[in-house]
Amino acid sequence: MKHLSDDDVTKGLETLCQSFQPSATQKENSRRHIFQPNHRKKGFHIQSWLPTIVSIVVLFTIGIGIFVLINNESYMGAGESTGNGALITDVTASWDRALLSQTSTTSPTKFEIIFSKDSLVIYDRFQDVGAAYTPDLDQSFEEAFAKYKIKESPLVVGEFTEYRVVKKNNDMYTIEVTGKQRFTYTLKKVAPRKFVGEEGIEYSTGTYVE
Amino acid sequence: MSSEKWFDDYFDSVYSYILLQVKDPHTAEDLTQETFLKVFRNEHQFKGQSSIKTWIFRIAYTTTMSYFRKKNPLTYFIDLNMLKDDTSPEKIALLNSQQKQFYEALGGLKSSYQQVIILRRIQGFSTIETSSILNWSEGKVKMSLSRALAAFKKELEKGGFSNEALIR
Repeated sequence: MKHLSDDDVTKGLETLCQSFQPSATQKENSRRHIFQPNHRKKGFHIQSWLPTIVSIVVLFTIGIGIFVLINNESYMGAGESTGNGALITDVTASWDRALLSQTSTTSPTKFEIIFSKDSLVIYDRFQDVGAAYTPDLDQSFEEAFAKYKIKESPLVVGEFTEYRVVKKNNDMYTIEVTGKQRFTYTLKKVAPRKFVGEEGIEYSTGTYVE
Repeated sequence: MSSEKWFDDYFDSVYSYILLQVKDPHTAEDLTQETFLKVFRNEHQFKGQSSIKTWIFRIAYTTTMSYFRKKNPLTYFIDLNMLKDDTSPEKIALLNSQQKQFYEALGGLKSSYQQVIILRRIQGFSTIETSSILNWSEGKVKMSLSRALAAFKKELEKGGFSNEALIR
C-alpha cells in the first residue's frame, strides 16, 4: 500500500469542495436577502432590548425609592439647608403636646415649656413661689457666688402663637419664636428624654420627641 | 468594484468554506449572508492592503468563529472539533465513497488544522493570505499546515484509505 502524497490529498480535497458549492437557488435567495432595500431593518428582538428594559426597571425602582424617602421626610418635616452644609428639619409637629420641665436647681427659675399645635406656653413657676423667698445675702456671699451663677436665660415667659421647633445635627433643637417678641432658644438632647438649654438649664420630658 | 460583483465572485467559495466547518447548509447560508452584509456595511474600511478575497474571508472566518463561540464556548476555547455531530445526512448521502472518507477525515481534525487545510489546500490561499485571514504568523501557518496534513493522512489511512482508492 502506497502512502498518499500531498498532491493526492489536494486533489481529493478539491473534489470534495465541489460537492459543497451552493445551488443556484441558494445563491439567488441570498442575493435577494442581502440586496433588498430594507434588509438592514431589524425586527424587535427581546435580547437586544433586554439591557434597556432592565435599565428602565432599575431607574423606576430608584425613582420610587427616592419618592418614598422624600415623602417620609415631609412627614417628619421638610429638610432645608443652613447654608454651611448642615441640614435642619422642622420637627414642630412631633413636639405637639410635649411638656418640658426644668429639673436643674442651679438657677432662680423653674421653667415649664408646653408645646401645642396652636401655641407655645412658657411658665416660670419660681417667679410664682420664689418671689416670697428672698434670702438676705450679704455682699460677700454675692461676690463668692458670682462666678458660679448660671447666665441669664433667653427664655421669655408667656404664650406665643407663632413658633416652630427645628432640629439640627440630630441632637440640637432650636425653638424659634417669631412675631413681636421674637427670640430663639436652643436645647441639646443629652438623653432620649433629657435636654440642656443653651444657658445650662436642664429639662426632662415625659414623652419622646423627634 | 461593486458590491454585487464581489457577491457574484466570492459567494460560492465563502459558502463552501463555511459549510465545510459548520456542516449544515442552512447555517452556512445564514453565516454567508451575514458575512456579505458585514462586507457591504464595512466596505469603506477596506484599504486595499490585501486582496478583496482575503478581506472577505477574514470576515467569513470571524463570523464563523463567533458563531461557534456562541454555540459552544467551551469547545471553542480548547480548540476541539466543534461540530462533529451536526453533519448533514443529506449532504453526506450525495458524496461518493472517496469524498465521504475525505470529509470524515477532515471532520476528525481539530479546528485549527481544518482551517489551515481548507484555506491553503481547498481555497488556494497563499501562506501570507492565510496568515492574514487567521491572524497567525506565517511560521505558524506553515507549521500547522505540515502537521495538519500529516494528521489528515493519518485519519484517512486509519479509515483504510490509500492512493489506490483515489478516483482519478
